[in-house]
Amino acid sequence: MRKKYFKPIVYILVFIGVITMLMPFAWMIVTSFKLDSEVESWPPQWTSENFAFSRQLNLNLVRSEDVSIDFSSLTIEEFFNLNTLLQSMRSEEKVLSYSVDDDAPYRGIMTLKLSAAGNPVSYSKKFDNNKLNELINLLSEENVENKEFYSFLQTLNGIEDPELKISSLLNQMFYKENAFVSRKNMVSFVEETSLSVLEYLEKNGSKLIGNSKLKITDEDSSEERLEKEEIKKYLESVVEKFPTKVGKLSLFLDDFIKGKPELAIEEINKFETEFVNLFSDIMATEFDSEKWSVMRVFDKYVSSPLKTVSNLLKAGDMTFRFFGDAQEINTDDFEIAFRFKPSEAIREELIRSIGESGYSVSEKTLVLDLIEKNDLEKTTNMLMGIFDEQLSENLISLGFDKDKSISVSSSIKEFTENLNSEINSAGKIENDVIAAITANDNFSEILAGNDIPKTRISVINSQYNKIMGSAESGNIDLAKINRLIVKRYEDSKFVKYYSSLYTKISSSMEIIKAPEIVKDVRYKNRRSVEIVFDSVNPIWFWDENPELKVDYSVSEWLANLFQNYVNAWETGKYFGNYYFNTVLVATVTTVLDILFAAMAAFAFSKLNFFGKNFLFSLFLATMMVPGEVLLVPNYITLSKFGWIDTYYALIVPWTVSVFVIFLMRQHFMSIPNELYDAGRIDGISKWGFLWKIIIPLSKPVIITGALLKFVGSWNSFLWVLIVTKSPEVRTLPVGLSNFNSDVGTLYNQLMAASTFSMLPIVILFLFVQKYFIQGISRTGLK
Amino acid sequence: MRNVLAGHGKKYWKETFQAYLFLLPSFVILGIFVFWPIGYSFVLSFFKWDFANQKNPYFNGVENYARLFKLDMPLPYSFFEALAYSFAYAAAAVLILKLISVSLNMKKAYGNQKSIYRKSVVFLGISASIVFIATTVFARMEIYPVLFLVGALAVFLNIWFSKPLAKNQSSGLWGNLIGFILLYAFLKYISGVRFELYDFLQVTKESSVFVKSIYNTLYYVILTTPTGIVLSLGIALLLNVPLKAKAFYRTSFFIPYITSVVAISLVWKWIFNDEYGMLNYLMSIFGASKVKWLTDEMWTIPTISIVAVWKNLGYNAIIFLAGLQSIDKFYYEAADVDGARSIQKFRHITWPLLSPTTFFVLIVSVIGNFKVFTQLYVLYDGLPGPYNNSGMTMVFYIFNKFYKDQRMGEASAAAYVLFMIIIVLTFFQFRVGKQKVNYSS
Repeated sequence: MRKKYFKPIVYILVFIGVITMLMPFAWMIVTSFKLDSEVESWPPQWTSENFAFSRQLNLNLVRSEDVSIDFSSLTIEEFFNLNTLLQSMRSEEKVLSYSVDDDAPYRGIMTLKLSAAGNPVSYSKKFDNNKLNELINLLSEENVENKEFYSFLQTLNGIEDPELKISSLLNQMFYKENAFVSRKNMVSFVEETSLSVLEYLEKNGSKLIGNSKLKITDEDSSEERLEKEEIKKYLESVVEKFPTKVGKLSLFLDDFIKGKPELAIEEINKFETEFVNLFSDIMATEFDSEKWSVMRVFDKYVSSPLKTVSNLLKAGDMTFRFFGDAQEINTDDFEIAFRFKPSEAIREELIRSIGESGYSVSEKTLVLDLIEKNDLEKTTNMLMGIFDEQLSENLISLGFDKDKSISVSSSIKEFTENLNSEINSAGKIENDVIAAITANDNFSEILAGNDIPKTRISVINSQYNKIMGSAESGNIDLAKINRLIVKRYEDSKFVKYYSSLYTKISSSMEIIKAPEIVKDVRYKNRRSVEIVFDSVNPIWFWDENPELKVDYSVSEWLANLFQNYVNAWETGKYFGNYYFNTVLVATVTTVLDILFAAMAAFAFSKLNFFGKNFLFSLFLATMMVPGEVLLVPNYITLSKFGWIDTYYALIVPWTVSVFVIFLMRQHFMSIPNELYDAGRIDGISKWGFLWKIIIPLSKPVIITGALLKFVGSWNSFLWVLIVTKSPEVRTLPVGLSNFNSDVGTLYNQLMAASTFSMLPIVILFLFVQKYFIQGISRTGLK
Repeated sequence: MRNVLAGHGKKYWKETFQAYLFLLPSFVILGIFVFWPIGYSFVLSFFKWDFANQKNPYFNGVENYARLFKLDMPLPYSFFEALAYSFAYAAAAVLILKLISVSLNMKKAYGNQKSIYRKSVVFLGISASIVFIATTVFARMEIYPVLFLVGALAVFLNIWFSKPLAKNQSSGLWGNLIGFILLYAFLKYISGVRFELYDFLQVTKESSVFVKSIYNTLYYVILTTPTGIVLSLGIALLLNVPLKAKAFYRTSFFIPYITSVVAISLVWKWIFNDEYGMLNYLMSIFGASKVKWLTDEMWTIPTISIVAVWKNLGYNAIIFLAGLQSIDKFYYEAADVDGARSIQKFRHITWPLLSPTTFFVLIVSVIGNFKVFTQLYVLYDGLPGPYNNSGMTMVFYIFNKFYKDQRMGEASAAAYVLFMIIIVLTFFQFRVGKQKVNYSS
C-alpha cells in the first residue's frame, strides 16, 4: 500500500516546488503585460485587458467653460506652446472635448458612440434665441426672491451670442463646481433653508400662535372667529409637524448626496416631488396674507424660503426641458470611427505645411532635415537642442568663456521667454520691440505704453540688464549681443510654431466613418478626444452618454502586449547601452578567463615545477576571501590606474577565477600524459600541446567554466555599481536598479525591464543547461 | 612527466620557468587584485583615510576598529558582567546535560550489571531535578520556560530512545547542541536575571550600527542556511526518485539561480508589496491578514532571506542530487535485504554518506550568506531596510562607509572584521567537519 501512494505524493510535492519556483516569473511576465491602471488591483488578477482584441474606455465630458490648465500635466511641447494652447481654447472652433479617464490606447481603430445603443443622439443646427429669452424671463420672474440666482439671470441677458448664453446658463445651472442645481449645492441649499426655518419656528412659533391679532375678541364676527381659530390650528400643526418633516427631508438628503456631481433631469424631478410632498401645505396657505399680518410674517420667514427652493428646482427642470426640446434633430446613426494616421502621412503633411509657411529658408531646411531623419516625437526637443547649441556657440565665438556663456545663455533664454509672453498678451507690438532691441534702444517704454504691469516690465528689464552687464564686463560688442537676443527670440518662436504645428497635425486622426457635421477628430497626447464640428454647437451633446471602444488587429494586439517593454526601454534611455556593455564585458571577461585559466590549469596539472603545491594551495586559499574585503583597495588601485568608469575596471580584475582553474585542472589531470609523449615525437611544444590536444579534449569542462563565468559576469552588481558612474559604461543589473529608482511604482514597466534583462541569460541557459548542471554537480564532488 | 623528473636538474628548472610563464597572467591579475589588496586592506584599516584627508592619510592605530564598536549610549551593564552570567548559564547547562547523559549511560550499565545502588542514585538524581525544575516553573508561571523544558525533554527522550540504534555520533552531537541551547534559554528564564551575552547583544546593537550589522548578518545566516539546506535536500531527494519529465523539474528549480539578483529582487519587491502583493494575496486565501513585508522592520531580514533561499535552492539541490547519485546502490540493496524502512535508510545510509556534500553546501552557503547585499539593496531601494537600519548587514555597512561616507579606513576595518568572522567560522566548520563528515563513500 505504501509503495502505491509513494509516487503520486512525490509528484505532488515536486509540482508544488516547481510552481513555487516558477510563480514569481509567471507573475513578472503577466504584470509586464498589464495596463497602468490594472497593476495595482486587489485581489491580484492574472489577466489583463491587453489580452483582448478590443477595449471599452471611460470618457469624461470636458465642458468648454471649465477648461483650466493643469500645468503639471503639460508635456514639453505643450509648455512651449502655452500661448497657442490658450488661444485654441479661446478660439471660435466648435469642439466637443472628452478626457480619457483610462489607459488611453496607443493604436487601433477607435469608435466613439455618443449615446448607448437604442438611444438616439439629438442636437440642433439652428437655435431660437427668442425662446431662450422667454425662458430666462420666466425664470427671472419666478425667482426674484432668490437674489443670487436672479442676478445671474440678469447678467445672462447681457450676453448677445445665443449659444454662449445657453452654455453659460447650463454651466451655471448644472455643471460648474458651484452650479445652482448641482447635487452638492442643492443639498446644502435645502439643508440651510430648512434648518433656518426650523430654527425660526422653534424660536418664534409660540409667538406666532399667541399673536395678539389672533386673539379672539368680543368684536369679532363668528366668521372671523372661525378664521382665527383655523389659522391658529394651522400654525400649531405646522410648528408641531415641521421637525419631523425636516427629519424626513434630511434622511432623503443623506441618500441623495451620493452620486455624480451633476444632476440628471429625473433626479431633479424626484427631488422636487419629495420636497413639494413634504412642504406643499406650508408653501401655499389658504389664508389671506393681506388681511392677516401674522400670515405675512409667516410667509416671509417660513413659506417663501421654502418656495425659493422649490422654484429653483422647478427652474432646473424647466431649463432641462427647454434644452431637450430645443434639439430638433434626432439620429440613431451617430458613430465616429477613427484611427491614427501613419507617421509617413504626418511627416508629409508636416513637410508640406512647413514649406508653405513664411519662415526663412535656413530654418526650414534645418527642420525639414530633422523631420526626414528622426522619430517625429523627438523632433521638437531636438530642434530646441540645436538652437540652444547654436546660442552657446555664438556666445563663445563672441568672446565669452565657457562658464560665462552658460549663465549668459540661460539668462537670454529666460529673457526671451518672458518677453514673448508679455508681447503675446499685449498684442501687436512685436515688431517695434524687436526693432528697438536690434537698434539697442530702450524697449521698455514700448512695453509700458501697452498696459503691461510695471512689475513685469521691471523683471524683464533686470533680466536684460543682467545680460548687458555681463557683456560689458567681458568687453563684448552690445550690438552683437542684441542681435543674438533677437535671433534667439525668433528661434524660440519658430520652435513654438513647429511644436504647435506638430501637435496639431499629429493629434488629428484619420476619420474612417463619421456624420457629416464632424469636421475633424483629435486625440491629444493620449489624454483627450476632441470632435470638431462644422456648424453645430457642441453644447447640444452635453446630455449624451459617450462610449469609446477600441479594436485592435493582430499586429496591434501584439504591439499592445509589448507596449510596456517599449515604454520601459524608452524611459530607461540607456538600456541599449546597458545591453551592449553587458554582452561585451561578459564575453571579453569569459574569453580571457578561459584563456588564462587553461594556461594556469595546464601548469598545475601537467608541469612539475618549483613551489607548485604551495602556489596551488595559495590559489585555492583565495577562494575563501570574500570579494568585499578587496573592494576598497581595489578601488584605490583602479583609480591609480585611471580605470574608474571604464571597461577595464569591469573586465581586468575578473579575468582570473581560481574556481575555473581548479575545475580545469581536475579535468586536465584525467588526460593521460602519454598523449604528450606521443605529441613530442611529432615535435609539438607544450603550448601547442595545450591548445591542440588538451583543449579539444576538454570541451565540456570549458563550456561549464565559461558559462559559470558568463552568467556571473552578466549578473554582477556591487562591483559595477562602485567602479562605474556613467550609464555609457554600466551594465544591466545596475541599469535595472537605477531604472527601479526612476520609475518607482510603475510595476508593469519594472517587470518588463526585469523580463528583458534576464531573457538572454535564461535562453542561453535553456540551450546549454546540460553542461551547466553537469558543471555545477561536479563542483560538489571533489 | 612527473615520473620522468625526479631530481632538480636543468630540465626541472627549465620547466619551472615555462610553468611560471604559463602562470604569469593569473599571477599578475591575482597579485594585483587579490594578494596585494588583502595586505593593503589590512594596512588601510589602521589608517585614517576619508574624504577630508584624501591626500594625506595618517596612521591612527586601532582607532578605526574602536570606532566600529563605539556605542552611542552607555549600557546598563558591562560586557564582563554579561560574559560572567553567560558562562554561569552555560556551565550549568553543560552540567545538567552531562548529568543526564551519564545517568542514561548508567541506566544502560545498570541494565547489564544490575546494580541496585546505581539505579537508585540515577532515579534520585532525575526525580530531584524534575521536581526542582517543575517547582521553579510553576512558581514563575511563564510560558517560555515551559516550552523550553518540553523541548529539552523531547530532545533527551529522543537521544535516549535512539541511542541503541544510532551507531554514528551525529545525532548525539545535534541532540546535545539543541539540548544545550534549550537548557541555556531555560536556565536564563527561570533565573530571572537576563544580563547575559544574548541580551547584551540585543542592547548593544541598538547603540552601534556595526554591531547591529553583525547581529543582522548572523540572524540572516542562521535563518537562511539551515532552511536552504533542508529544503534543497528535500528537493534533491524528490528528484532522485525516478520521475517523468525530470529535466523540466530540474530546470525549473535551477532558473532562479542563473537570473540576476537585481531582476529577481525587483520581482520579489512586487510580490512582497504591502497592498497589492501576490504573497499577501496567497496568504489571505488561508485567512491571514496583510503583512507589511517591506515596511515593517521585523520582516526585513526574513524578506531578504526568503529571496535568497528561493534563489539558491536549485543550486544546492543540484549539488545534493549529484551527491545522492554518487552513493553506491549496493548499500540500499543491502538495507532492503535487512528490511529497513525509508526513514532508516535515510538516517543510516543517505545522511552519513551524503555528509561530504552536506558539508560542502554548508560551507559554501555560510560564506555566501555572509556576503548578503544585492537583494537588500534592491528590495529597499538602496537603503538598509525601511527604517532603523533594520536590514543593515556587514557588506552593506562596508558599502555605506566606503561608497556613501567615503571613509576608506573604517570600511577596510569593517571588511577585515567580516573576513575574520568568515575565517573563524570556516575553520570551526572544518574542525567539526573533520570529526563528523564521513569520507568513506
